[in-house]
Amino acid sequence: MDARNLFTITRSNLRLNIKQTLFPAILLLFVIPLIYGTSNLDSVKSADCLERMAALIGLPMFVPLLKPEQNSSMGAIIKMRPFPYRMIVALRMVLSLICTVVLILVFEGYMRMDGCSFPACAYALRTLAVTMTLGFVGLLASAVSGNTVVGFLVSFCWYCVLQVESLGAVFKAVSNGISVYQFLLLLGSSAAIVFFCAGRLQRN
Amino acid sequence: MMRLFGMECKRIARSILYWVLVLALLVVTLYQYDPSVESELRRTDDPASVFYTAADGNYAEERSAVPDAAMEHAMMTGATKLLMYNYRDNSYQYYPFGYVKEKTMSAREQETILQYLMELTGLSQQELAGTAGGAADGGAGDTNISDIPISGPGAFVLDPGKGNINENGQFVINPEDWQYVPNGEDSPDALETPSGDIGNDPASGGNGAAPSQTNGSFEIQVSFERFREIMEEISRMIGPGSYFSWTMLKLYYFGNDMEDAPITQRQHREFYEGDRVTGAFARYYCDSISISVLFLPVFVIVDLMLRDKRRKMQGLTYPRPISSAKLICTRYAAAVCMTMLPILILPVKSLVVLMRYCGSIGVQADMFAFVKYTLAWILPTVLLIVAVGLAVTALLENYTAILLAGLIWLVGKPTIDKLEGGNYGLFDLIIRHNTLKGYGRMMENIQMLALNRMTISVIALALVGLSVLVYSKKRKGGMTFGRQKSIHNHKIKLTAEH
Repeated sequence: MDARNLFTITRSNLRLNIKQTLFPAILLLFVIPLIYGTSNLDSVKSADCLERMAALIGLPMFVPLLKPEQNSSMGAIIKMRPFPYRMIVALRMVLSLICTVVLILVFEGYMRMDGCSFPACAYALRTLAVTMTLGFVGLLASAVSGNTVVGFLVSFCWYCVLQVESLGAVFKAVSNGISVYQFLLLLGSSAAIVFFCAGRLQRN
Repeated sequence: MMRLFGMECKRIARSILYWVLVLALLVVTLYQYDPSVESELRRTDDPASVFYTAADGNYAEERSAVPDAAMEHAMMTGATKLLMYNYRDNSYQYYPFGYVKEKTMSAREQETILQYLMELTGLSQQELAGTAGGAADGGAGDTNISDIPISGPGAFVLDPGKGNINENGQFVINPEDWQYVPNGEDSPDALETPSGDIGNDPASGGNGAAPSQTNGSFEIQVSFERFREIMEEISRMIGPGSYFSWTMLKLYYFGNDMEDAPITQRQHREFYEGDRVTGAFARYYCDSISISVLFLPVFVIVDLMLRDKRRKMQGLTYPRPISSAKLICTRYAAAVCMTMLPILILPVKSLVVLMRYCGSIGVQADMFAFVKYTLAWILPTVLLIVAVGLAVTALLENYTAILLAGLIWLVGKPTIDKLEGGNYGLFDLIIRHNTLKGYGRMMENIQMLALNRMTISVIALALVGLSVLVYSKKRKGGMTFGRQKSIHNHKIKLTAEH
């Protein structure tokens, strides 16, 4: 595959992503300051804000990535294409990842301008980990079930479980740092997503 | 119609999504509600338990039996201290949507607050700002409020900010959160130190009273009525749900039913006669699952509505002779019934346990309390959330309804002053009552509660009507957005291609 093909695929997937993932995520980030305190926070409260609120963008950014191919008639078309579907999914995940990083940095910049004090780089990385975990859990559920709604529901349940002090401490990366378990979960889930997405397509 | 309803129910029941929803509700019930029933039954001899029956008929005194002056003094002093530190930091916390926010005042607003503080305390601007030598509590930015001695009668108070909301939205007060405000048998004069010549400062004491300000202490200079007026004004400046609003001040300083305090005669009577035992637990159950039902039901209807599109079945369902109203209403009813089914079944275990216990002590419990409360409190919320999902999905045919419901879930969480129950608003999406006590408080405001539930239900039904209109238009080939294709256009395209 030459660079031109890759550029075309990237461009079309990016266009697809903007409408389905980026727009709702930006909308969510705009809503956060209206309902949650984002000004003059210390590092502990900033971590809480990023973990509880900003990380929610993981839902729109990652969970609907497989939606276009979940229509029953799409399977046959995709199977005929020479370019492997798994690569497309991986590419979409990377694109979403880049957009997520940008959104988190922009939101952190806004918080800093609003008088919050926290280590920006470390928190950006940790917020990304929480966001990815939230999104990847839903995306995996979506890949396994072949239904994006299931992905959203599982992600939401995961988010609620994280709020439980005793259960969620391991995955509260912004407050407690990125744990080995979280790292393994991210690696495992991303591999499982790529594996299951094509498997589902084969069955269809 | 019934056959179609049965078919839709079967479709929902076959979906993995529905069972994830049931599992989520089960976890909430097992984790949040069931332990409270068990713990309450384990401590029936504890005077703080709602089951407690005093053999001699002596129960704890009502909070109102404590001299009002003591509670009012504790409120005035505590709120003024908090206001002073908020003023110094220029950071005022409030809860517009159930999450804490901080407001920074403009210079003009700060000036107004300063005037109020001077009127309340009789302190000078320098002392209030913490810049005068040895003034107030020793320096600006020191937010340790416990080192300001106060005068007046003593009482246990819950300082604003103490207590917290756990992951399920339950308000938790730990024993260490309560602070004993020292007894004021000492006269106010006894707390004064002779160091302050602040009384000569023209800025001190706007009401002409000699300010009894000292190095590290202050005395409230205004009457309780004036204090309330000032707090209302400050609360208006900060925003809804501030610590200076009357509802929050009452919650923190006049005691509340969420604290684990010995029950009173009135609470005992309300529990056994008003609630007939199970009513209190039914209310608590509804409270426990209320936050979950503000979001979860939307998944059922969105999945049901999108299944046609996902399986390319719209071409078959649109031309059917069945009316849009019948199809949409049946789907709506199926989604609501299937969502309500686990909500009605899950508390059966605790109902049996409670009925058995009531039988053993010879109390006539209300067997239908859970059904009544669930249908009255939870059903309208489910109706609304499912209707929102239905309307948006019928219109846009995508997952926007889930994101919208997510936003409603974030914004619709009630503020702290609603947790205790009895404080209802017309457009409250969910009803909170985070205590087994408070039947009387609920009954006092039953009209607003009924009006709220009816309003929510009417809005839900209006949205269903809107969905019928939208679906009907779509079947006729209208109302397409973005890259959506009407079934009519699709037919033309197919004809042209072939």
